[in-house]
Amino acid sequence: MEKSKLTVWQFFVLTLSFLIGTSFFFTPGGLIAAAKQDAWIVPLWAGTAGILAALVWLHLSKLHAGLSIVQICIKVAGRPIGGFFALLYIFYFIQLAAFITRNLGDFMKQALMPLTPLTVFHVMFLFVTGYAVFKGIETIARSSELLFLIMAATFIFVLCLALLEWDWGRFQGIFRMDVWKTMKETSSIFGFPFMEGVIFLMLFPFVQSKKVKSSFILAYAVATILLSFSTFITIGVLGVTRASHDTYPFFVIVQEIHIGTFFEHLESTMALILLVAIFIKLSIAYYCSVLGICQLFKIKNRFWITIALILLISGLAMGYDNVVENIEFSKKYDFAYTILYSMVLPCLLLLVTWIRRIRNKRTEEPAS
Amino acid sequence: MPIQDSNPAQDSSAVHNPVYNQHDPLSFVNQIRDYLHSPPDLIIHSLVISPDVPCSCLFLDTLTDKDKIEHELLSFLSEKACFEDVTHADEMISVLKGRIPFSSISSSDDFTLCVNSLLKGVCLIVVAGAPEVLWINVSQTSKRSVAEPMTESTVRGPQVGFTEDITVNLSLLRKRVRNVHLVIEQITAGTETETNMALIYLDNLASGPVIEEFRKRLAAIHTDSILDSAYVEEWLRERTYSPFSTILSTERPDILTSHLLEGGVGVIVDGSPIALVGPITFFQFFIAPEDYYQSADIATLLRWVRFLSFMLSVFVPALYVAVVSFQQELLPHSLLISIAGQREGVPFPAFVEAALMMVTFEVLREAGLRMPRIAGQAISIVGALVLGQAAVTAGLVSTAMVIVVAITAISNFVSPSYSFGITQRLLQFFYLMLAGAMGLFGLLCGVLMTVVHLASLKSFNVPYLSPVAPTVLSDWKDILVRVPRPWMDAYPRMNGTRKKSRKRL
Amino acid sequence: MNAVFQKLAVSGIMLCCLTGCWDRIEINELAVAGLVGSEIDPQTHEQIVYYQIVNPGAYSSESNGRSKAPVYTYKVQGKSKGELAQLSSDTLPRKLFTDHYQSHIVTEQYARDGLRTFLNYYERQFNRRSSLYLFVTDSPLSDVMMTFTPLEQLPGRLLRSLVSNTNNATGRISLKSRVKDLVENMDSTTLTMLPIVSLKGEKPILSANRFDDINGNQSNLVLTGAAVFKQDQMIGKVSLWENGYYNLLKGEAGNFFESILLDDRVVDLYAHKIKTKQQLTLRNGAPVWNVEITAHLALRNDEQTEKLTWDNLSKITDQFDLKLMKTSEKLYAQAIEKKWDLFGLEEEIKYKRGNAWKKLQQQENAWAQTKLHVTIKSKIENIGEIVDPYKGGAGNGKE
Repeated sequence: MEKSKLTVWQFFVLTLSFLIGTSFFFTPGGLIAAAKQDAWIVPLWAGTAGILAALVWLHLSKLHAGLSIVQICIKVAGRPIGGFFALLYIFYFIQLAAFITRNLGDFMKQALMPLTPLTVFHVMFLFVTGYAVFKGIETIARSSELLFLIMAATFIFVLCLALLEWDWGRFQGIFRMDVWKTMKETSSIFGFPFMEGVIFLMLFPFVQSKKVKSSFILAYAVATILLSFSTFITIGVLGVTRASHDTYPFFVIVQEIHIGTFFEHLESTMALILLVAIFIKLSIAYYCSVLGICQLFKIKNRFWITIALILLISGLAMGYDNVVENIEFSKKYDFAYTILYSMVLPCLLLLVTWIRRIRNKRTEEPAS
Repeated sequence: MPIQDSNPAQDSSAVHNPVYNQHDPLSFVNQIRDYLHSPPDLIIHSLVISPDVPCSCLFLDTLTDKDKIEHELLSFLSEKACFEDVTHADEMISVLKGRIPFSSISSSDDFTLCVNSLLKGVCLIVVAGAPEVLWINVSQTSKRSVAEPMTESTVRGPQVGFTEDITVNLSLLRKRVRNVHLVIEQITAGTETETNMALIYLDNLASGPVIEEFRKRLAAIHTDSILDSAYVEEWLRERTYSPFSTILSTERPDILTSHLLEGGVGVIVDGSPIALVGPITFFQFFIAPEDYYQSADIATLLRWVRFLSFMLSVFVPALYVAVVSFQQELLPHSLLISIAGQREGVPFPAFVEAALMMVTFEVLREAGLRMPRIAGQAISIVGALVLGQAAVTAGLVSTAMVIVVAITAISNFVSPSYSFGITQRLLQFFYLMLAGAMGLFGLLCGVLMTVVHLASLKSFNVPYLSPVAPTVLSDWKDILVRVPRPWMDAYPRMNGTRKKSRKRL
Repeated sequence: MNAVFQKLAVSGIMLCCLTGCWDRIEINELAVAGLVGSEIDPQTHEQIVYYQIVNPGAYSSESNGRSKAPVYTYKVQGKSKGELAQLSSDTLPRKLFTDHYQSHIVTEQYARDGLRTFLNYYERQFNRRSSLYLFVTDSPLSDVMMTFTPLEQLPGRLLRSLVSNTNNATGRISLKSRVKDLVENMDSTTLTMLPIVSLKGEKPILSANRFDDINGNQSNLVLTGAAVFKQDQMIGKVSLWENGYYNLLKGEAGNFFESILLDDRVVDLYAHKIKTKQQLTLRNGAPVWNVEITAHLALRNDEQTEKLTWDNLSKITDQFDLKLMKTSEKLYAQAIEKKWDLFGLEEEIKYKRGNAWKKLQQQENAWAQTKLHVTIKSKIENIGEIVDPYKGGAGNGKE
């Protein structure tokens, strides 16, 4: 086990980039299609649910200080059953990494280089990420810190330019949604990005400071607000009609930005933001998979695991053929799929832990 | 003076096993002469200082101050009156020690030590019958005087550079930091060259672990020769291979001092005008000495110019290639048309064109460094013509490409540190290749790779990207900007200095 | 281990990189489209597209002896839109590059038939930006696409400049006449106005020799009016002057120009910094569309013989406000007559809350009953260099 430490700020940056990194780009379109002008409200309740889930995870990790979810599984449920749970988690992380990788590939192929095969993007990017993973979580955290600044600055810059197209008229017809129906239709947002934060159960042990709780919750709150904000921007700048029809509405916004007639075509900045965001998110998911495998099978050297996972992830990333399948899948199953890992299993573990504690107390009490 | 056991010369001496025999000084002298293969510059001067006491004076006249020996030492020794009261040779050493008007004087009876010290410019006085040999340090090597620094010149500020002589260099430092806390530890390394090095730090500032790390790495030097501080630098660096230097090399005493005063640790190597300083972080390579001799606002502006030119020199060729041969949509329309117009008839793809021009430029630069100064003009004419005019007129390269290479080259020279400039050139080619193969995506992957690499580096346990990652906000005031002196009241926190505040409490 | 990893990484990346070259295309292998026009062949119902390709040779610094034609127009005909772009490879010696052409022209007939399929095709393409201007032409498309234009030699850019110039000078063409504005109104009832471009003169000029001809007016592209679109279909035409008013009412005109008559003498006024506030209210059960306009005026021409005074200036502004109000109401009435829902009132009513609106919401065509109520507040900011006009003539000299 490597002895690494993360500062509170680093942890905040990691959490925030993980949550907001790709979702600000991929979610608004679907939300707007479902909830029209009121789409910006959806992330707010989803985020609140996310914070509740985060509290559960934090509690679980507090009960088992210094242990990651894989170790908690084994400790709580014993090697055979716990090991199975741990494996489930590891597979979830790997699958998450594959998903993120595919997002990157789809985007690159559509937007920038249509002829280059998908796998090339995947493998190349996984190599870069693998390098970071091999170097360890501290390296990932430090790179994220630097990249986060660049990403935030570019994002704000692009945003300011995009606001030139702002029109309040596009909000005509606001506050008329059927909450229950919308919630059902947009249930995938609970899964992506908020419940995916369960992955941080792997990283809690690295933060020594007690402020881990507040920084994690704060990151959730900020992510919620930002996601709502970016949906809001999308509506105001692009309009509901177009946003609900586009695959990547945010990309369209940036495509159409111009300063005078000379500075046009700023979509490369968007590609930059997205790639950096994907890098951070992927390196976290990838690292957690590697770490989980190492912890489960007690492997000392991460190197070969890292290499092997490149192949596995890039293979899994080819699991579906196009974006439509991806969108459909996440709409239908994402919620149920992630809820298993983010709520059902942690609650189960929590329950078992409590039962054991009570039993231990009972057995201890007569003794003392 | 510590002796290395593994010295082969000494091993062979063990075979001869010559020991100083106080009754036979002549054979000792002869042994020394034989051992050194009777070099022409070994002077053996026999004299009688007291009626019964003959003695010999040995020195290498290439390493010693002959004037001093002749006018001071020998004339003193030949004044008979001084030693008439001493008759017994045994006492002679202590009497001589007390009376000879030299400050650096000692004695020993070890043969190898004697020979070694002879090679360091010591004059040996072998007194017949005395138990030990007297050493008088009269070393003087040819050295140049203190001059302006060659590679790091400033308009304002001290115009003094280190020289090849370690004592001169140390005196330059001592003059700047008149402080009891200035610690100079002497270390010798290199089994063949026996090079002196000095580890310098301020013991009330530099953090213990950093000093310890320096000591550890210096002690780990196992090499036969050290001819320059660059040799030491490679031993001092982190083990991981990296084009980025984790040690700053400077030939300016003021830079070394300023780092020492911020908790850094320096190493000076005898025979090299370049001192080494650590820990150093990535962003400190954008700091020029002049920043502190100019007003803060100008210094900040110039620092940003340096950041910008770093970006330019590293990214411009790669970006140009990526945009021109992959992502043309990113160009503004009018620029696209004008570049397309220029590229009409250019036979090479943009990547080949760029590589061609960059390599040509590198060759020219290398030629400019190596050739005799007198030929300088010739090469600059050829360079300017070949690179600029002719290539474009011949239709081999486009005008835009010439501008790209020119911008790259000029911004590369902005780098305050020469070694960092070379790193930039490596990066240029790395990015150029990625961009040529994969366009913007490749370039971005390369950048991410670089960022990860930088983030994984540490310089003596200080993360290389600090104070940005990990974020140390209070250190930003001398990295991203340069605030006026009165505001810099705290020492850089990333160095982990022992004192936190500059204010004397 | 580290070394192994590095070697693996480096060789892996290098191998991967090589496939990137499949996407490599040099800038001088591209046919950069500057202007594209599309129409449907009335006989065969085939799609026709004209690509105006920029000739980089004309912009090369060593273009001595090369052709000076800044653009070449290629015509491609095919069964479907997607096919056209592919078919272009049969005629174009270089790869078609549509990423940043500047304007798109469609024929009036095409527009009247509906642009839905065109817009969908257009929005699907990743490499096209919907922020470019869409024009309708009432001249034969082939003529419009095949004429050389002086001064601004790229017709695509010329059209773009025309729009922004007109918008600046008179506000008669809205800047919101881009493809994306049309798309945005696809699901709503709001009308979109797109500029109409026509070829001045009978015949296009096919030769680049025209650049040596002093007559700049000859066979040029000019804006002649605006086409009214409901969703994707063109439903009518208005003149530039009318369109100026519509833009003013819609709040899309930042500038405006109008001449007024004051005692039979002409005063030309240029309004800028125009701010528009719109609101739909109910008055006595009938919907009223309130438009409040504030404007800063500049006096461009004043044929009055009087000296400018406080009184005189307020007379001018009053007259200006009155004229704008009257004309607006007249034009609005005309639009209602033609069943043009200029401001998206239908939707506006639909989204209103409250019982009073419910009734209206149930009625069909309730929006047509909407009255227009315009209030204009203007003030003169700039009167030019002279306060007192030169009077000359008899009786004005010193007595």
